[in-house]
Amino acid sequence: MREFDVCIVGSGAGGSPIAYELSRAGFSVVVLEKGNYLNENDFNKDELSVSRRSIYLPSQNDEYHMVNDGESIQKTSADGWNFWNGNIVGGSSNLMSGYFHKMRESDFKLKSKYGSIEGANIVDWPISLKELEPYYKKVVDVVGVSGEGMELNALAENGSTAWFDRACKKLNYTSVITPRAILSSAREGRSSCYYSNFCGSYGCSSGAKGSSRASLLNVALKTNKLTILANSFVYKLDSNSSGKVTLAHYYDKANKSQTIKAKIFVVSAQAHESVRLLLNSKGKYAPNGLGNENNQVGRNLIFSAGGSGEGRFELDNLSKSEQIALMQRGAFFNRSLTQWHEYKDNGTLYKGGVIDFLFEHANPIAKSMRSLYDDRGNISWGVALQKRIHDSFTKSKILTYEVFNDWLPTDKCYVDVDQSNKDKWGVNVGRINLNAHEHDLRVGNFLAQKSENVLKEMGAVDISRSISSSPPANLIAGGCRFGNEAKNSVLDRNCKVHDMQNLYVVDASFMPTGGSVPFTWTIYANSFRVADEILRNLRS
Amino acid sequence: MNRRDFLFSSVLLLSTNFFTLEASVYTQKIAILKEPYQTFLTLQDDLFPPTSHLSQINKIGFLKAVMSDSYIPKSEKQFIINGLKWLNDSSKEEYSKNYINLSKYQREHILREISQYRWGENFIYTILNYILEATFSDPIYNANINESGWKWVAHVSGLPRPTRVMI
Repeated sequence: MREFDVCIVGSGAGGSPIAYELSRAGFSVVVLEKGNYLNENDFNKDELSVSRRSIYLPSQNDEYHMVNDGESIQKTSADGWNFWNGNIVGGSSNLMSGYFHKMRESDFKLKSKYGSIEGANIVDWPISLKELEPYYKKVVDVVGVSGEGMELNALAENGSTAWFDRACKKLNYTSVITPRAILSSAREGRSSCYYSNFCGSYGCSSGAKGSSRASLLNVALKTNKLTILANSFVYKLDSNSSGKVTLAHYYDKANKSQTIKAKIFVVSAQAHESVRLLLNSKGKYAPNGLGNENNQVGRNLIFSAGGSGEGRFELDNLSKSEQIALMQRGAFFNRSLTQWHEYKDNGTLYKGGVIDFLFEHANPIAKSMRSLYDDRGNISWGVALQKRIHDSFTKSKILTYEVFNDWLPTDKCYVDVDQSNKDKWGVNVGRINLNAHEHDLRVGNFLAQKSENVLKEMGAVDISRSISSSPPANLIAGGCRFGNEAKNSVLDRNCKVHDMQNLYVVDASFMPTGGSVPFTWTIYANSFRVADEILRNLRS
Repeated sequence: MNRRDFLFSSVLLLSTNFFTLEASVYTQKIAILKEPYQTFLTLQDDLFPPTSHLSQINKIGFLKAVMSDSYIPKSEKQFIINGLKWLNDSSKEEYSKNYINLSKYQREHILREISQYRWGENFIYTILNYILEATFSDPIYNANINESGWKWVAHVSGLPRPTRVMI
């Protein structure tokens, strides 16, 4: 049996800052990652394998989730859902678009500032922005964030961003250059962005994208104190009568069960999978699963609420120079609207959110599929379909927007373990129980309207929106919320499981509310904060 | 039981030699087989005509690879097989002939008719899904020959491109 100071389950944005800090401090660290170890040279822009066949995700026949949408409970392999996100070293941070927004002070005090909402389990965070701020800065320094006011200049922009800025000025809106976790210039062994035009959903071939693998793990490996075990699926943690986790059990690449002993255990397997591991780790001293004495594990699962929308710019309506600007490939759009982070509507103060604008993804198969239905909603084929496809590529370009607002936690949105369905290793699978609060849609539509105002002012046509209560499977949080009281939270303010001495959970599952921004910057920052706490414990 | 219900409830397995069953990859050569291969060959051109820009797209070879692709659910493959059978059933019911023996006008009429049913719309959508994958996938998959699909719409691929078949 191998023994380490620290054992980390999962290599994404939650686990990697811990690995980075503790290995650099001289402690022996092992990271167990279920997926393969791929690096820059392994990535390419093959839509068929990456986006259509999802080669970075497990087979849904072998590993799946159960989904309870309130009407039926089905396997994800049967109902079209897929809640896996980047099963490779570095996790989904390899595949993110890197839109980095910080949470604001009010996000930490959602209940005390905006009040309770019936049917929603809103709470304040047990920490403040002031406590997290130094760690947001650390992410900027270590992972790298480009943008206005950052050490790294903003990334190159498409010429049509000037239209956006003009439209905002006319509407008296504030145009914000979107901070991105992408290097605009090379540093520390990572190359700068090469503007491939295929960023989101793909691994980065230059190392510019701030994945936890490129920015943290690859650096930490140089200490020789870090061991990364890929293709290693942790299925159970053993605990003892002293409230300590003693062993991690995992299946290696040959499907052989192995164990690892450590002083500290850190779980970071993505929110729903971390919950699954805790609940599947029942034992003599944890009859309901680890940290689940008060039946809080899995509760208050959240996503990012909101949705998306778009507008089309037709080349025939533009001057030649405008056409050239719009059709320029590679350079980013990189504009956001953040001024409705909170807003008043009919005299009531609401917590709002942020809006990011970006071009439609350049994936040609996905783009062509959008032409399958005609303007009347009928499926089309033949020459008519071919004309629609050809026009969509050559006569116009779509600007999309994404709305991020709080997914209010409710009693009906949670993760538990399905007792009758097992994965290929015979381990009970997680069951995701979905529920959305109607308040989320109200806020999402408010923000979508602002977005549409800008698109209209810019001259876009065919403006549409899709604000819904359908959860984005790549933005999952909650389930192990942190708090000051064990009766209504799983973790303490330092993300250590209440009443356990050496077990931490550091992916997005700690978040009691989502902050109305993409989660990654906050996950990184919080893990750097927790790393400092673990360091203090190990040194004492 | 109406016709639509009948079609849904039927488990109409075709001859197992429709597509060769040995392990297949996207670069493997196609074995030209009999029906319902011919049905697909006609259908693919009705749904996505081989105009001069698109004449090189290897749609049938790609579909054959799909039928051996472990990433594609078995239920989807079975739906394709069933759908081709149901397409012929509809043709025979309406015109007493298989799909490939109909005139162009008659085939268009059949497609219009089945598209009004949920199964028919889903079938057309599914076939077009793989036709568009063939048309716009990386040429390494042996369908978008000479990048003709990409050239047709002036698409520029992201780099790096795959150097080997990834699936």
